[in-house]
Formats: sequence, structure tokens, C-alpha cells
Amino acid sequence: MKASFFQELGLFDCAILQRVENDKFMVLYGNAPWFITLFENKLKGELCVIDDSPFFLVDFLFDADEFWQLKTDGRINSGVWSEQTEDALLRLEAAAIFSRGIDYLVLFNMENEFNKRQGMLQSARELLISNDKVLEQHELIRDRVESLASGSEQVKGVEFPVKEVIDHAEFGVAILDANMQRLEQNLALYNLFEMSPNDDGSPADLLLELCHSQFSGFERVLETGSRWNGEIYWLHPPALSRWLQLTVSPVKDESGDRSGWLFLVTDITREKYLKQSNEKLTYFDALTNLPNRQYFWQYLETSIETNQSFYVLLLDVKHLKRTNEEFGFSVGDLVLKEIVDRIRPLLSSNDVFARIGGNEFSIIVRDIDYTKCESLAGQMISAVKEPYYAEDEFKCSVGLSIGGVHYPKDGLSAEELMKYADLASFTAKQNVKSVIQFYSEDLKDSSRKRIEMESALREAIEKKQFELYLQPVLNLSSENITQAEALIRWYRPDLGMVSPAEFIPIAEQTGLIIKIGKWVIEESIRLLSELHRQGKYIKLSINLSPSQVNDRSLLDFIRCTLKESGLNAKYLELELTEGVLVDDFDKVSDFLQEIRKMGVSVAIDDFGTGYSSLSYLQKLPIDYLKIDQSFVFNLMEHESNQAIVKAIIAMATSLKLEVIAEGVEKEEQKAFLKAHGCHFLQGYLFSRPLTYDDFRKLL
Amino acid sequence: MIQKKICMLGASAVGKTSLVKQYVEGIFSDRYLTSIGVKIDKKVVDVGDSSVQLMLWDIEGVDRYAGFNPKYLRGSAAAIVVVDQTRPQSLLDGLEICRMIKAEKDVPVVMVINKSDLPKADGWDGVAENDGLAMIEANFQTSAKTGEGVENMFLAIAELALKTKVG
Ligand SMILES: Nc1nc2c(ncn2[C@@H]2O[C@H](COP(=O)(O)OP(=O)(O)O)[C@@H](O)[C@H]2O)c(=O)[nH]1
Ligand SMILES: [Mg+2]
Repeated sequence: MKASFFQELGLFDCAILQRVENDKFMVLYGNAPWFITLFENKLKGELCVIDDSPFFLVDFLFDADEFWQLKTDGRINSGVWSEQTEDALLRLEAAAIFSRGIDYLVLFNMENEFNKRQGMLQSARELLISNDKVLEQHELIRDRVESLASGSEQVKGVEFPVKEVIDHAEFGVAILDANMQRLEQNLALYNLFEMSPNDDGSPADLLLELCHSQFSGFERVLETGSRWNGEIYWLHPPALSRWLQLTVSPVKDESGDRSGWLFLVTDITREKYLKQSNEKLTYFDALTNLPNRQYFWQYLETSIETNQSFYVLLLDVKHLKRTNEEFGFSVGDLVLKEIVDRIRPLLSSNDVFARIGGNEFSIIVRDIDYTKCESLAGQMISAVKEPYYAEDEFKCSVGLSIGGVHYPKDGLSAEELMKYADLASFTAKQNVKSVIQFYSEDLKDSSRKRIEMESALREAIEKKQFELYLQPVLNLSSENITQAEALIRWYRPDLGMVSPAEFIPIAEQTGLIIKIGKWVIEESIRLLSELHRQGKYIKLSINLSPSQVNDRSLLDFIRCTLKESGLNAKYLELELTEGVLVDDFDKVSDFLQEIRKMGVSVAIDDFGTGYSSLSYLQKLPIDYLKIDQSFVFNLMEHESNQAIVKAIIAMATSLKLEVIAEGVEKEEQKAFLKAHGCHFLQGYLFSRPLTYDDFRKLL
Repeated sequence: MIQKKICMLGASAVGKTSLVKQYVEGIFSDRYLTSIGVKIDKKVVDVGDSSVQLMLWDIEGVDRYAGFNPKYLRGSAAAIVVVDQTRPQSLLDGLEICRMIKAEKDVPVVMVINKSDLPKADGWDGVAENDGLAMIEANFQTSAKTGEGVENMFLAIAELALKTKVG
């Protein structure tokens, strides 16, 4: 091992080990005292086994192992950790290196870097927290004043108890009426401007002057009655100056008309000073060497100040998680690096390219119009879609969702731009394909609608606005109804029926599906018990969504609910879509085994539309396949559909599964299905979903 | 002995380090010293008839200077998300972290509401009416300062961790 090699790797206060096998390493270099205490006097040339401590290192060896197996020159780092030895607290970082066919494990003493980073972050974090507190206080007062004001037609002098809160607030408060005439200003506001209530001047007037002179959008805020949050600077010659954090917010009365203005002001001079001394804290992302999130925000703010138009693109790498799970994080990391290498050549030197999250990048693109920006996004998408190879062995692919916003068209502040870009990228992400979505007013509307729907759903859960409809399933051999599928209906008192296609996706996204799903289970079991009491021994199937399968408490819930009802579990069936199966085989397999143990049966819904392979089906405890209605719908018109249906039935028979055809509307369809050995039918031909009462009557 | 890896996550300065220190060493300090990277502490707990060695991963606060690193979750039997009841923002951050954990890995997550010796922030209850809380297996009130609730919380984690297959 030559000294030049160490230098080449930038190794100084470090120890180098070479992997001999699995967790056995040979010391190549390591005579620093910290290494000696850590590895109990292991000398150069000796072997050591890392299987128990340091624990952090043992854990890192999982990543390292994955990486070494790639046999690609390069390195990965563990991140810094602290290790307490008998007499010292060490700050260390490990790297797994592969070079010229050899696996190295290198340990670095990071004492100096650690202290430096801690020094910088200490004040930065104190600053973040105090900033949080300032904004939160502003928010609170604003809420109180707002709720007070909406109770009366006008803000006429402020009353107890808000008055008391304001008087005692640690920050300046001014309340003006709709004509910008002062109604209130508290003592703290006087103090901020070094004035006293006995003097002539008014701090609120001074504040307004500062706003007009320093804040170009002020007129717009007043005209449109919007809210504003930002900083202003007050210079009081000869020697005094202050940075002030200001929140301006309209006060509305109960009819929604503006009845006044609230100004909240906090002195942030100290924080500002801290921040400036922290400005050198320009961090870069260690993996890709791109600017990181913080740097990007600063850059975005600076770009806004120059007042030239630009686009912000928010890139979200799709399926990265899957890659990480399938091939390991080291492959995921290589993919990220390669993405950067593919995108960079498409950008110009004026653009800013940053990594702002695990799988998120952001780009500021200047001097570009809409069409060009769209085509740039298209180029990025195609570049990223090309497969990735890690040392020939692994081939993987990822996609890209892009959200775009334009400054100044879509927003004027960094927060606004990023919020809208995020909304656009969120929308793009809903698409299975890689696409770009630009922000628009429509998008905001639909996001608002989604939010509205979400809160209506919450209410629906609380007020039990759901009902279960039952769609009978016909047993073809006996021509009897032996089972039914439970379908949820939501009756919105103000709007009427809402289709599940509309609200289920939102319930999924917001996690509300868990509660809704539990209600469905409870209600189904209740209805079943009732039917059984009347001697009608029907079986009922319930649809489960992907997140329910991930919910750890679901199994217990089903078990308990069944037990309480005393119902025989064989009358309950769960329907899962194919997509759920492919998602995480091991988890689903565990889940289904448990379901089987309970005695509940399982059907695969929408079968034929997903990707489940025969091998999947063989290994899982499944009882039924439900042929997707898209095949049945024009079964007679398309031979290809007939072929698919026949194939599904044949496959199911060989796997000893029973088949239910959905969406049967015509006699010929029924005849075809029956002739080819299908066991059960569901569809309008026979019956649409019915209310419980109608269903009971039908039996 | 059975070892269980537990990740401590949360925004900066909510008291992750203090909770571990109180639990493992019985010490508390008012001084805030921001954590960098990871530090692992161990403690053996008796749960029923068995003993478990908890490996407590005290991880640098998730904020704009340090992102959430999913690698650390590998092999963990539970995650503790700590929030500070004097800072509503820390609850919002905590919920976001819970979401990220759940998206990454199927592991029980408990939320710890720390600093119970201090008055709750005025805006706390407004933020706490949040459906995100449904993701969480359990939540606890603690004070790393007085030690109240700390022992119990870690004991409950140990029990939860024993039920988890991995780790
Ligand atoms: N009063 C009080 N202060 C606490 C408590 N827990 C932590 N702190 C303080 O909060 C600050 C941050 O604590 P620390 O453990 O470093 O937070 P971490 O960043 O989450 O690890 C320190 O100043 C602690 O002294 C608590 O339960 N009560
Ligand atoms: Mg800490």
C-alpha cells in the first residue's frame, strides 16, 4: 500500500481495513490512538471480525456489502456517528471503497469536521426555532383578532380579552380600519420604534411609511385584501437599525367583507445577524454534489429579487423506492448520480440544478418560454427513462414526474412558487406515466375541491353518511344467490350520491380509507349476522384497498369484530386487486396466510388488468378470481376478450380457484361464461347493487 | 440476548437526545447542544420473563439542514417520533416524519410528546386535531427533564419491539 494511494483517497486521520471475507477484515493501516482503543490493539496485518461492535459499523456493513457486490469502482459513506469508548467520545465516519478489485473499509476520525458542523448548525437551528416561534405567535394573535372581528360588523376599538393579549404581547401590534385609520397600537410597537405613547408621532404611521417605501407589492396586498409576511428594515440615524418581521393580514367581518387590517411586528435583528454569519453555510448534497435544498431556496429568493422571469421545475423520481428495495440503496444511489449526469447536459450554465430531497430535484430555468420549457421537460423525461445498468448485473428503470411554475406569472414569493410547483408535481405524480404538469388556476381549483372533499369525507365518517349496497352474485350451477358483494355508497346531504370512484382515491391519499374500511367491515358483518338470524345463509365479500393491507391493526380488527358477532368466518370474503399482490409479495403473503387461518376467503378483484403472474397466484392462499368487467363488457364482440376469459378460467381451474365474472349484462355473455366453466356471475343482467332491504326481499 | 434497534426521530431540539440521556444515564441538562449524525446507546430492559437490549439510535434532527434518511430505519423494530409540546410546528414536522417512515417501512411508530413539565403552546390543540395521528400505534407524554413518563415509554417500546419480527 503506497502512501500516494492514501493521499489519492484523501485519507489522513484514518484507518484502512481490507475485507478478507464476510465480516472479517485485515488491518492495512491504523496506528492512531482512537483506532487502537476501538479495535483493541489490533496491529497492521492482523485480522479482526466486525460482527458485534461498533454497532453502527456492523449496521453499515449491510450497505457496504451490497455495494462491494456490485464490483464497481467507487465508494459509499456511512454518515457521521459518535462512538463512546471507555475514555473518549469519538466522531467517526466509515467508507466502503471498491478499487482495483479489492474491498476496503476505511474509518475516518471526523472530530474536526464534526465540531465545525456542530458549530454552524447550533446557531442555525436555534435560529430556525426562534423563527418558528415568532411566526406562530403572529398566527395566534391573528386568529384571535379574526374570530373576534367576524362576530361584529366592524372592528370598533378592541375589546377584552383580545385587548389584554395585545397589550401584553411581546411584539408590536397595530390595528387599522378599512381606511387605514389607526384603531389600536400596543406598547411593544412604540418600543420597537423607540417611541413612547406620550410623544407626538405614531408608530403605526411610521410602519405604514416603511411598508410603502420598502415593499413594492404593498399596494397590491391592500387592493386585493391578501396576506403578507416578510421583513422590513428600519434605520434610525445615527446608529440604530432594526430588522423587523412583519405580518399584514386583513380582518374580515362575518359577511366576508374587509373591515380592517392587522399588523404584527417582531424584532428579528439578532436572528438576522446570526443568519448572515451562517450564510457561508452553503451546503452541497454529498451524493450528487449538487446544491442542496437550503442553497436552492436562497438561490430562488435571489432570483426573485432580480425580477426576471424564470421557470421552476420540481422533479420527482418515480419508483426509486422500489429500486432501493429490490437492489439495495447503493444501486439507488448510483441511479441518482446517473440521473444527474443525464440531466445536466440538457441545462444551460445559467440554470440552477439542486437536489432538494431523497428523490426530488429542483431546477431554475431562465430565458425560456413555455413551449421550450415543455420540450426540455420532455427531454429530461426520456433521458431518465432509459434503463440503468449497475455492472451489467442489475438493470433497473425509474421515471420522472415534473411540476412546473412560472415566475412571476404563477407566484411572486419563493414559498408561493414552491407550493404551486409542489401541487403541480403532486398532480403529475398521480399519472402512472412520466409527465410534466404546469401549474394553473384550474389545478388550484381542483386541489381546493380535493381539500373540500376531504373535509366532507371526515364529516361523513363522523356522521355515518355511508351505506352499504349489496350486489347479488349468482351461482351458475344452482342458479341461486349464494353470495353478494358489499359496495359502499356515500350520500352527501347537500349534493346527493357521490360515486366511490370519486371519493375512494381521496380517502386513499389521506389515509381516511382506514376508518372507512373499518366501518365497511363492521357494517358488513352486522348485515350478515342479521341475514343469518333470518335463516338466509349468504356470504358477503368486501373490497380492501392497498393501504388497508398495510395497516397492522386490520387483522386484529377483523378477528375481534367477527368474534363479537359470533358469525362463522367462512361467510366473509375479502377482495384485493392484483396491484396489491405485486406491491410487496412477502407482506401480502403473510397477510393472506393470517386471513386464511381465520377462515375468511380471499378473491382477486379486477383480474386480468394487472400484472400478477401464475407463480404469484400459486404461492398465495387465494380462493376466487373475479374476471374484470372490461373483458366481459364486449365479450361477444371481441374474440380477444373471449380468448382471455377462456384462459383465465382454464388457469383458475388448474389452480383450483373458482371464477366470478363481473359486469354481465347480456344473456349471450352468461351462456358463454357458463359454457366455458365459469362458476359465478355478477352484473346488471341479473341485479344491480341493492339496498339491504331490497336485497333481503330478493332472496 | 435479544437486541432491538429503535430509531429516535423528530425535528431539532424536541428532546431526543435528552430522553435517551435521562433513560440511560438518569441525567438531564438544560443546555441545548445540537446533535450531528447518529449516536447509539444501549440499555437492557426486562419485559416479563425475557430481557431485551434496546439499541437506541439517536438521530440528528430532521430539518432543512438534515433530511430524513431512510437508511437508518433498516432493521429497526420500532420508531419513536418525538415532538415538543411547546412548539406546534414540531408536531407538524413529526407527522410528516411519521408519514415518511410509513411510506418507507412497515414498522410500528409511537409518538412521544415531550417537555410535559412546560406549559403546552397555545396553538397546540389546534394542530393536534389531525387525522395523521391515525398512523401512529401509540402516544406518550414525557418530560426528559423530570423523568416523568420516560421509563414507562421505553418499556412500552420494548414490548412493542418484541412483537415486531425484525430487528
Ligand atoms: N423543560 C424541558 N426541556 C427539555 C426537555 N427535553 C429536552 N429539553 C431541552 O430542549 C433542548 C433540546 O433538547 P435535545 O435533547 O438536545 O433535543 P434533540 O435535538 O431532539 O436531541 C435542550 O435545551 C433540552 O435541555 C423536557 O422534557 N423539558
Ligand atoms: Mg439530539
